[in-house]
Amino acid sequence: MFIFNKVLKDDALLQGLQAGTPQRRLYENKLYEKYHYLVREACFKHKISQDDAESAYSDAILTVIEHVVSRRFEGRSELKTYLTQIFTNKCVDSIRKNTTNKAEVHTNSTGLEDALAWLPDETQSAVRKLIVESEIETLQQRLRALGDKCREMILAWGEGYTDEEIAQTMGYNTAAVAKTSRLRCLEKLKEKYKSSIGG
Amino acid sequence: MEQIEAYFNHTLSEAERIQFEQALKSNPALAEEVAFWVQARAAAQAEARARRKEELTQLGQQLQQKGRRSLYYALSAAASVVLCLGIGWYVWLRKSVGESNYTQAWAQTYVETNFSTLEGLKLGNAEADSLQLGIRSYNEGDLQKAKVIFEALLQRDSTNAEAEKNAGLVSLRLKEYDQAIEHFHRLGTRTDLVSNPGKFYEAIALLMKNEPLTQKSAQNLLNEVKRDKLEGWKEVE
Repeated sequence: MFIFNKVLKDDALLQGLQAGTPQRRLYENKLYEKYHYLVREACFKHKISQDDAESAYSDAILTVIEHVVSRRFEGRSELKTYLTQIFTNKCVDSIRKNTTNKAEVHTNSTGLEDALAWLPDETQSAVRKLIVESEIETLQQRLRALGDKCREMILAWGEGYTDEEIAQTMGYNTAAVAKTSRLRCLEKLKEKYKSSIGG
Repeated sequence: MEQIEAYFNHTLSEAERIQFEQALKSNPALAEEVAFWVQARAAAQAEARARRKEELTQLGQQLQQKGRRSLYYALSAAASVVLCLGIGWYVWLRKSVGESNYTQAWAQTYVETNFSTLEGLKLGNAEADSLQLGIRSYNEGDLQKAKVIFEALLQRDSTNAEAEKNAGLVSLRLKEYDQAIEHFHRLGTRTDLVSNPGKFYEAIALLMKNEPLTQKSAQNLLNEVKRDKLEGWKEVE
Protein backbone atom coordinates (compact mmCIF):
# COMPACT_ATOMS: atom_id res chain seq x y z
CA MET A 1 0.00 0.00 0.00
CA PHE A 2 1.41 3.37 -0.97
CA ILE A 3 1.03 5.18 2.32
CA PHE A 4 3.87 7.67 2.15
CA ASN A 5 1.94 10.72 1.00
CA LYS A 6 -1.62 9.87 2.02
CA VAL A 7 -3.51 11.16 5.03
CA LEU A 8 -4.81 7.91 6.48
CA LYS A 9 -8.16 7.41 8.14
CA ASP A 10 -8.11 6.52 11.82
CA ASP A 11 -9.18 2.92 11.17
CA ALA A 12 -6.24 2.41 8.83
CA LEU A 13 -3.87 3.97 11.37
CA LEU A 14 -5.13 1.71 14.16
CA GLN A 15 -4.81 -1.36 11.98
CA GLY A 16 -1.32 -0.40 10.93
CA LEU A 17 -0.20 0.15 14.52
CA GLN A 18 -1.72 -3.09 15.77
CA ALA A 19 -0.68 -5.28 12.84
CA GLY A 20 2.80 -5.56 14.26
CA THR A 21 4.66 -5.21 11.00
CA PRO A 22 7.99 -3.43 10.49
CA GLN A 23 5.91 -0.64 8.90
CA ARG A 24 4.55 0.24 12.34
CA ARG A 25 7.08 3.09 12.52
CA LEU A 26 5.58 4.60 9.34
CA TYR A 27 2.06 4.42 10.80
CA GLU A 28 3.33 6.07 14.00
CA ASN A 29 4.74 8.94 11.91
CA LYS A 30 1.49 9.20 9.94
CA LEU A 31 -0.47 9.45 13.19
CA TYR A 32 1.90 12.16 14.38
CA GLU A 33 1.58 14.13 11.14
CA LYS A 34 -2.19 13.79 10.89
CA TYR A 35 -2.96 15.59 14.13
CA HIS A 36 0.08 17.85 14.32
CA TYR A 37 -2.18 20.87 13.81
CA LEU A 38 -3.32 20.39 17.44
CA VAL A 39 0.06 21.83 18.52
CA ARG A 40 -0.74 25.30 17.20
CA GLU A 41 -4.22 25.18 18.72
CA ALA A 42 -2.72 24.21 22.08
CA CYS A 43 -0.32 27.18 21.96
CA PHE A 44 -3.29 29.55 21.73
CA LYS A 45 -5.61 27.67 24.05
CA HIS A 46 -3.19 26.92 26.87
CA LYS A 47 -0.83 29.86 26.31
CA ILE A 48 2.24 27.65 26.22
CA SER A 49 5.31 27.99 24.03
CA GLN A 50 5.69 26.13 20.74
CA ASP A 51 8.45 23.97 22.26
CA ASP A 52 6.34 22.98 25.27
CA ALA A 53 3.38 22.22 23.02
CA GLU A 54 5.57 20.11 20.71
CA SER A 55 6.97 18.19 23.67
CA ALA A 56 3.52 17.57 25.12
CA TYR A 57 2.25 16.47 21.71
CA SER A 58 5.10 13.98 21.22
CA ASP A 59 4.44 12.56 24.69
CA ALA A 60 0.75 12.27 23.91
CA ILE A 61 1.40 10.50 20.62
CA LEU A 62 3.78 8.01 22.26
CA THR A 63 1.22 7.32 24.98
CA VAL A 64 -1.53 6.75 22.43
CA ILE A 65 0.74 4.40 20.46
CA GLU A 66 1.50 2.42 23.61
CA HIS A 67 -2.18 2.16 24.43
CA VAL A 68 -3.12 1.14 20.90
CA VAL A 69 -0.38 -1.51 20.66
CA SER A 70 -1.18 -2.96 24.09
CA ARG A 71 -4.91 -2.86 23.23
CA ARG A 72 -5.53 -0.58 26.20
CA PHE A 73 -7.29 1.73 23.73
CA GLU A 74 -10.49 -0.18 23.02
CA GLY A 75 -11.95 2.12 20.39
CA ARG A 76 -14.88 3.26 22.51
CA SER A 77 -14.08 6.84 21.60
CA GLU A 78 -12.70 8.34 18.43
CA LEU A 79 -8.93 8.23 18.14
CA LYS A 80 -8.80 12.02 17.83
CA THR A 81 -10.86 12.44 21.00
CA TYR A 82 -8.58 10.05 22.86
CA LEU A 83 -5.43 11.77 21.65
CA THR A 84 -6.83 15.24 22.38
CA GLN A 85 -7.66 14.28 25.96
CA ILE A 86 -4.18 12.91 26.59
CA PHE A 87 -2.60 15.90 24.85
CA THR A 88 -4.62 18.32 26.98
CA ASN A 89 -3.43 16.55 30.12
CA LYS A 90 0.17 16.79 28.95
CA CYS A 91 -0.28 20.52 28.30
CA VAL A 92 -1.67 20.95 31.81
CA ASP A 93 1.39 19.13 33.18
CA SER A 94 3.58 21.49 31.20
CA ILE A 95 1.83 24.55 32.66
CA ARG A 96 2.13 23.15 36.18
CA LYS A 97 5.79 22.39 35.64
CA ASN A 98 6.47 25.94 34.38
CA THR A 99 4.45 27.80 36.97
CA THR A 100 4.87 25.87 40.20
CA ASN A 101 7.68 23.41 39.58
CA LYS A 102 5.37 20.72 40.91
CA ALA A 103 5.49 17.16 39.71
CA GLU A 104 3.39 16.02 36.75
CA VAL A 105 -0.17 15.02 37.44
CA HIS A 106 -0.36 12.69 34.47
CA THR A 107 2.89 10.71 34.59
CA ASN A 108 4.18 8.44 31.92
CA SER A 109 4.02 4.82 32.85
CA THR A 110 7.55 3.32 33.08
CA GLY A 111 6.09 -0.15 32.91
CA LEU A 112 7.48 -0.83 36.36
CA GLU A 113 4.15 -0.78 38.12
CA ASP A 114 2.48 -2.68 35.29
CA ALA A 115 5.01 -5.52 35.65
CA LEU A 116 4.96 -5.54 39.45
CA ALA A 117 1.16 -5.57 39.52
CA TRP A 118 1.25 -9.02 37.87
CA LEU A 119 3.13 -10.54 40.81
CA PRO A 120 1.18 -11.85 43.80
CA ASP A 121 1.29 -9.59 46.85
CA GLU A 122 3.90 -11.41 48.97
CA THR A 123 6.37 -11.77 46.12
CA GLN A 124 5.59 -8.27 44.85
CA SER A 125 6.84 -6.66 48.03
CA ALA A 126 9.92 -8.89 48.03
CA VAL A 127 10.79 -7.91 44.49
CA ARG A 128 9.90 -4.28 45.10
CA LYS A 129 12.46 -4.16 47.91
CA LEU A 130 15.11 -5.21 45.43
CA ILE A 131 14.19 -2.52 42.93
CA VAL A 132 15.61 0.94 43.29
CA GLU A 133 13.87 3.25 40.83
CA SER A 134 16.85 5.48 40.53
CA GLU A 135 18.80 2.48 39.27
CA ILE A 136 16.67 2.52 36.15
CA GLU A 137 18.58 5.59 35.02
CA THR A 138 21.84 3.76 35.63
CA LEU A 139 20.53 0.89 33.54
CA GLN A 140 19.65 3.34 30.78
CA GLN A 141 23.23 4.57 30.79
CA ARG A 142 24.55 1.00 30.61
CA LEU A 143 22.13 0.34 27.78
CA ARG A 144 23.60 3.22 25.78
CA ALA A 145 27.05 1.70 26.30
CA LEU A 146 26.03 -1.65 24.79
CA GLY A 147 26.99 -2.54 21.22
CA ASP A 148 24.70 -1.21 18.47
CA LYS A 149 22.94 -4.49 17.70
CA CYS A 150 22.21 -5.36 21.34
CA ARG A 151 21.11 -1.83 22.09
CA GLU A 152 18.73 -1.72 19.12
CA MET A 153 17.33 -5.08 20.05
CA ILE A 154 16.64 -4.15 23.66
CA LEU A 155 15.17 -0.78 22.63
CA ALA A 156 12.84 -2.52 20.17
CA TRP A 157 11.80 -4.83 23.01
CA GLY A 158 11.23 -1.75 25.18
CA GLU A 159 9.03 -0.23 22.48
CA GLY A 160 6.82 -3.29 22.60
CA TYR A 161 7.92 -5.03 19.42
CA THR A 162 7.53 -8.81 19.54
CA ASP A 163 10.42 -11.18 18.83
CA GLU A 164 8.77 -11.90 15.48
CA GLU A 165 8.85 -8.21 14.55
CA ILE A 166 12.40 -7.84 15.83
CA ALA A 167 13.45 -10.82 13.71
CA GLN A 168 11.89 -9.24 10.60
CA THR A 169 13.45 -5.81 11.07
CA MET A 170 16.86 -6.94 12.23
CA GLY A 171 17.30 -9.80 9.79
CA TYR A 172 17.10 -12.86 12.05
CA ASN A 173 15.87 -16.11 10.58
CA THR A 174 13.19 -16.79 13.15
CA ALA A 175 11.58 -15.25 16.21
CA ALA A 176 13.26 -17.90 18.36
CA VAL A 177 16.72 -16.87 17.14
CA ALA A 178 15.87 -13.21 17.78
CA LYS A 179 14.66 -14.06 21.25
CA THR A 180 17.83 -15.99 22.12
CA SER A 181 19.95 -13.03 20.92
CA ARG A 182 17.87 -10.63 22.90
CA LEU A 183 18.15 -12.62 26.11
CA ARG A 184 21.90 -12.82 25.56
CA CYS A 185 21.94 -9.02 25.24
CA LEU A 186 19.98 -8.73 28.47
CA GLU A 187 22.60 -10.89 30.17
CA LYS A 188 25.31 -8.58 28.85
CA LEU A 189 23.38 -5.61 30.19
CA LYS A 190 23.10 -7.33 33.55
CA GLU A 191 26.86 -7.93 33.66
CA LYS A 192 27.62 -4.28 32.82
CA TYR A 193 25.10 -3.12 35.38
CA LYS A 194 26.40 -5.37 38.16
CA SER A 195 30.00 -4.41 37.46
CA SER A 196 29.07 -0.72 37.65
CA ILE A 197 27.37 -1.10 41.04
CA GLY A 198 30.13 -3.35 42.31
CA GLY A 199 28.00 -6.42 42.30
CA MET B 1 15.69 -15.21 32.11
CA GLU B 2 13.55 -17.12 29.63
CA GLN B 3 11.24 -18.40 32.32
CA ILE B 4 10.94 -14.92 33.82
CA GLU B 5 9.93 -13.60 30.40
CA ALA B 6 7.41 -16.37 29.93
CA TYR B 7 5.91 -15.51 33.33
CA PHE B 8 5.50 -11.80 32.54
CA ASN B 9 4.30 -12.57 29.00
CA HIS B 10 1.62 -14.83 30.56
CA THR B 11 2.68 -17.80 28.48
CA LEU B 12 3.27 -20.24 31.39
CA SER B 13 0.67 -22.85 32.11
CA GLU B 14 -1.30 -22.53 35.34
CA ALA B 15 0.82 -25.18 37.03
CA GLU B 16 4.07 -23.55 35.83
CA ARG B 17 2.88 -20.16 37.02
CA ILE B 18 2.12 -21.45 40.51
CA GLN B 19 5.48 -23.22 40.64
CA PHE B 20 7.27 -20.03 39.57
CA GLU B 21 5.52 -17.91 42.21
CA GLN B 22 6.36 -20.51 44.89
CA ALA B 23 10.02 -20.46 43.84
CA LEU B 24 10.01 -16.66 43.91
CA LYS B 25 9.01 -16.70 47.59
CA SER B 26 11.83 -18.99 48.63
CA ASN B 27 14.61 -18.28 46.16
CA PRO B 28 16.32 -14.88 46.70
CA ALA B 29 18.48 -15.34 43.59
CA LEU B 30 15.34 -15.74 41.47
CA ALA B 31 13.81 -12.69 43.14
CA GLU B 32 16.93 -10.74 42.23
CA GLU B 33 16.72 -11.93 38.61
CA VAL B 34 13.07 -10.92 38.47
CA ALA B 35 13.93 -7.50 39.91
CA PHE B 36 16.60 -7.05 37.28
CA TRP B 37 14.26 -8.09 34.46
CA VAL B 38 11.60 -5.63 35.64
CA GLN B 39 14.14 -2.81 35.91
CA ALA B 40 15.70 -3.64 32.54
CA ARG B 41 12.28 -3.60 30.93
CA ALA B 42 11.49 -0.23 32.50
CA ALA B 43 14.88 1.15 31.41
CA ALA B 44 14.41 -0.14 27.88
CA GLN B 45 10.94 1.43 27.72
CA ALA B 46 12.19 4.77 29.08
CA GLU B 47 15.18 4.86 26.74
CA ALA B 48 13.12 3.81 23.70
CA ARG B 49 10.52 6.45 24.52
CA ALA B 50 13.17 9.17 24.89
CA ARG B 51 14.72 8.27 21.56
CA ARG B 52 11.39 8.07 19.78
CA LYS B 53 10.36 11.41 21.23
CA GLU B 54 13.49 12.98 19.78
CA GLU B 55 12.68 11.50 16.37
CA LEU B 56 9.12 12.84 16.54
CA THR B 57 10.38 16.29 17.58
CA GLN B 58 12.56 16.37 14.46
CA LEU B 59 9.57 15.27 12.41
CA GLY B 60 7.61 18.14 13.96
CA GLN B 61 10.32 20.62 12.96
CA GLN B 62 10.26 19.29 9.39
CA LEU B 63 6.47 19.69 9.31
CA GLN B 64 6.77 23.26 10.53
CA GLN B 65 9.36 24.08 7.87
CA LYS B 66 7.23 22.38 5.24
CA GLY B 67 4.23 24.41 6.40
CA ARG B 68 6.18 27.66 6.21
CA ARG B 69 7.45 26.75 2.74
CA SER B 70 3.94 25.87 1.58
CA LEU B 71 2.64 29.19 2.86
CA TYR B 72 5.49 31.02 1.14
CA TYR B 73 4.81 29.22 -2.15
CA ALA B 74 1.07 29.84 -1.87
CA LEU B 75 1.59 33.56 -1.22
CA SER B 76 4.14 33.78 -4.04
CA ALA B 77 1.76 32.03 -6.42
CA ALA B 78 -1.11 34.32 -5.40
CA ALA B 79 1.09 37.41 -5.81
CA SER B 80 2.23 36.19 -9.24
CA VAL B 81 -1.36 35.63 -10.35
CA VAL B 82 -2.39 39.09 -9.14
CA LEU B 83 0.62 40.66 -10.86
CA CYS B 84 -0.09 38.84 -14.13
CA LEU B 85 -3.74 39.81 -13.99
CA GLY B 86 -2.79 43.40 -13.24
CA ILE B 87 -0.31 43.58 -16.11
CA GLY B 88 -2.78 41.90 -18.46
CA TRP B 89 -5.51 44.30 -17.50
CA TYR B 90 -3.20 47.32 -17.92
CA VAL B 91 -2.04 46.13 -21.34
CA TRP B 92 -5.63 45.49 -22.42
CA LEU B 93 -6.67 48.90 -21.13
CA ARG B 94 -3.91 50.75 -22.99
CA LYS B 95 -4.67 48.74 -26.13
CA SER B 96 -8.39 49.48 -26.02
CA VAL B 97 -7.70 53.15 -25.37
CA GLY B 98 -5.07 53.31 -28.12
CA GLU B 99 -7.60 51.95 -30.62
CA SER B 100 -9.93 54.92 -30.05
CA ASN B 101 -10.10 57.96 -32.29
CA TYR B 102 -10.54 60.26 -29.35
CA THR B 103 -7.23 60.87 -27.75
CA GLN B 104 -5.55 63.55 -25.74
CA ALA B 105 -4.38 65.14 -29.00
CA TRP B 106 -7.94 65.37 -30.25
CA ALA B 107 -9.07 66.89 -26.92
CA GLN B 108 -6.19 69.37 -26.99
CA THR B 109 -7.20 70.55 -30.44
CA TYR B 110 -10.82 70.86 -29.34
CA VAL B 111 -9.88 72.94 -26.27
CA GLU B 112 -7.66 75.25 -28.29
CA THR B 113 -10.32 75.69 -30.94
CA ASN B 114 -13.39 76.10 -28.76
CA PHE B 115 -12.33 77.28 -25.32
CA SER B 116 -9.90 80.12 -26.03
CA THR B 117 -12.70 82.63 -25.41
CA LEU B 118 -16.06 82.58 -23.71
CA GLU B 119 -19.27 84.19 -24.88
CA GLY B 120 -20.85 86.75 -22.57
CA LEU B 121 -24.45 86.75 -21.30
CA LYS B 122 -26.73 89.73 -21.66
CA LEU B 123 -28.73 89.78 -18.42
CA GLY B 124 -29.29 92.83 -16.35
CA ASN B 125 -28.58 91.66 -12.80
CA ALA B 126 -25.71 91.59 -10.33
CA GLU B 127 -25.03 87.96 -10.88
CA ALA B 128 -24.79 88.49 -14.59
CA ASP B 129 -22.37 91.34 -13.85
CA SER B 130 -20.10 89.00 -11.93
CA LEU B 131 -20.38 86.44 -14.66
CA GLN B 132 -19.48 89.06 -17.27
CA LEU B 133 -16.54 90.12 -15.17
CA GLY B 134 -15.36 86.56 -15.01
CA ILE B 135 -15.82 86.05 -18.73
CA ARG B 136 -13.94 89.28 -19.47
CA SER B 137 -11.04 88.16 -17.28
CA TYR B 138 -11.07 84.77 -19.03
CA ASN B 139 -11.02 86.37 -22.48
CA GLU B 140 -8.22 88.71 -21.43
CA GLY B 141 -6.18 85.69 -20.39
CA ASP B 142 -6.36 86.39 -16.63
CA LEU B 143 -7.46 82.86 -15.84
CA GLN B 144 -6.69 83.02 -12.11
CA LYS B 145 -8.93 86.07 -11.66
CA ALA B 146 -11.63 84.40 -13.73
CA LYS B 147 -11.38 81.30 -11.52
CA VAL B 148 -11.82 83.36 -8.34
CA ILE B 149 -14.88 85.11 -9.74
CA PHE B 150 -16.59 81.93 -10.95
CA GLU B 151 -15.82 80.05 -7.68
CA ALA B 152 -17.27 82.95 -5.67
CA LEU B 153 -20.40 82.85 -7.83
CA LEU B 154 -20.77 79.14 -7.11
CA GLN B 155 -20.33 79.79 -3.39
CA ARG B 156 -23.26 82.17 -3.51
CA ASP B 157 -25.36 80.00 -5.77
CA SER B 158 -24.32 76.38 -6.31
CA THR B 159 -27.08 75.92 -8.89
CA ASN B 160 -25.59 78.45 -11.28
CA ALA B 161 -24.98 76.25 -14.31
CA GLU B 162 -23.10 78.90 -16.28
CA ALA B 163 -20.71 79.54 -13.38
CA GLU B 164 -20.18 75.80 -12.97
CA LYS B 165 -19.40 75.40 -16.67
CA ASN B 166 -17.06 78.38 -16.78
CA ALA B 167 -15.30 77.31 -13.57
CA GLY B 168 -14.69 73.97 -15.23
CA LEU B 169 -13.37 75.60 -18.38
CA VAL B 170 -10.99 77.81 -16.39
CA SER B 171 -9.68 74.75 -14.52
CA LEU B 172 -9.26 72.97 -17.85
CA ARG B 173 -7.25 75.84 -19.31
CA LEU B 174 -5.17 75.97 -16.12
CA LYS B 175 -4.52 72.21 -16.51
CA GLU B 176 -6.20 71.57 -13.14
CA TYR B 177 -7.89 68.53 -14.61
CA ASP B 178 -9.26 67.02 -11.40
CA GLN B 179 -11.08 70.21 -10.54
CA ALA B 180 -12.32 70.56 -14.12
CA ILE B 181 -13.63 66.98 -14.03
CA GLU B 182 -15.40 67.71 -10.76
CA HIS B 183 -17.15 70.83 -12.14
CA PHE B 184 -18.20 69.15 -15.37
CA HIS B 185 -19.37 66.02 -13.55
CA ARG B 186 -21.64 68.10 -11.30
CA LEU B 187 -22.92 69.89 -14.37
CA GLY B 188 -23.47 66.63 -16.24
CA THR B 189 -25.67 65.16 -13.50
CA ARG B 190 -28.17 68.02 -13.72
CA THR B 191 -31.46 67.20 -15.34
CA ASP B 192 -32.99 70.68 -15.31
CA LEU B 193 -31.01 72.15 -18.18
CA VAL B 194 -32.26 72.38 -21.75
CA SER B 195 -28.78 71.92 -23.08
CA ASN B 196 -26.13 70.30 -20.91
CA PRO B 197 -22.53 69.97 -22.14
CA GLY B 198 -21.38 68.54 -18.77
CA LYS B 199 -20.69 64.97 -19.85
CA PHE B 200 -19.01 66.02 -23.07
CA TYR B 201 -16.75 68.49 -21.30
CA GLU B 202 -16.03 65.96 -18.57
CA ALA B 203 -14.88 63.54 -21.31
CA ILE B 204 -12.63 66.29 -22.73
CA ALA B 205 -11.10 66.90 -19.30
CA LEU B 206 -10.56 63.15 -18.77
CA LEU B 207 -8.82 62.87 -22.14
CA MET B 208 -6.61 65.83 -21.27
CA LYS B 209 -5.62 64.12 -18.00
CA ASN B 210 -4.31 61.28 -20.18
CA GLU B 211 -4.21 58.27 -17.80
CA PRO B 212 -5.31 54.77 -18.85
CA LEU B 213 -8.23 54.69 -16.43
CA THR B 214 -9.37 58.22 -17.28
CA GLN B 215 -9.04 57.44 -20.99
CA LYS B 216 -11.40 54.54 -20.56
CA SER B 217 -13.88 56.66 -18.60
CA ALA B 218 -13.71 59.35 -21.29
CA GLN B 219 -14.49 56.78 -24.00
CA ASN B 220 -17.50 55.59 -22.04
CA LEU B 221 -18.75 59.15 -21.59
CA LEU B 222 -18.32 59.98 -25.27
CA ASN B 223 -20.24 56.81 -26.19
CA GLU B 224 -23.02 57.97 -23.87
CA VAL B 225 -23.03 61.48 -25.39
CA LYS B 226 -23.26 59.98 -28.86
CA ARG B 227 -25.90 57.44 -27.94
CA ASP B 228 -28.17 59.90 -26.09
CA LYS B 229 -27.43 62.80 -28.48
CA LEU B 230 -26.33 65.04 -25.62
CA GLU B 231 -24.62 68.34 -26.28
CA GLY B 232 -21.40 67.72 -28.19
CA TRP B 233 -22.63 64.54 -29.89
CA LYS B 234 -21.92 65.94 -33.33
CA GLU B 235 -18.24 66.17 -32.41
CA VAL B 236 -18.11 62.44 -31.76
CA GLU B 237 -20.00 61.12 -34.76
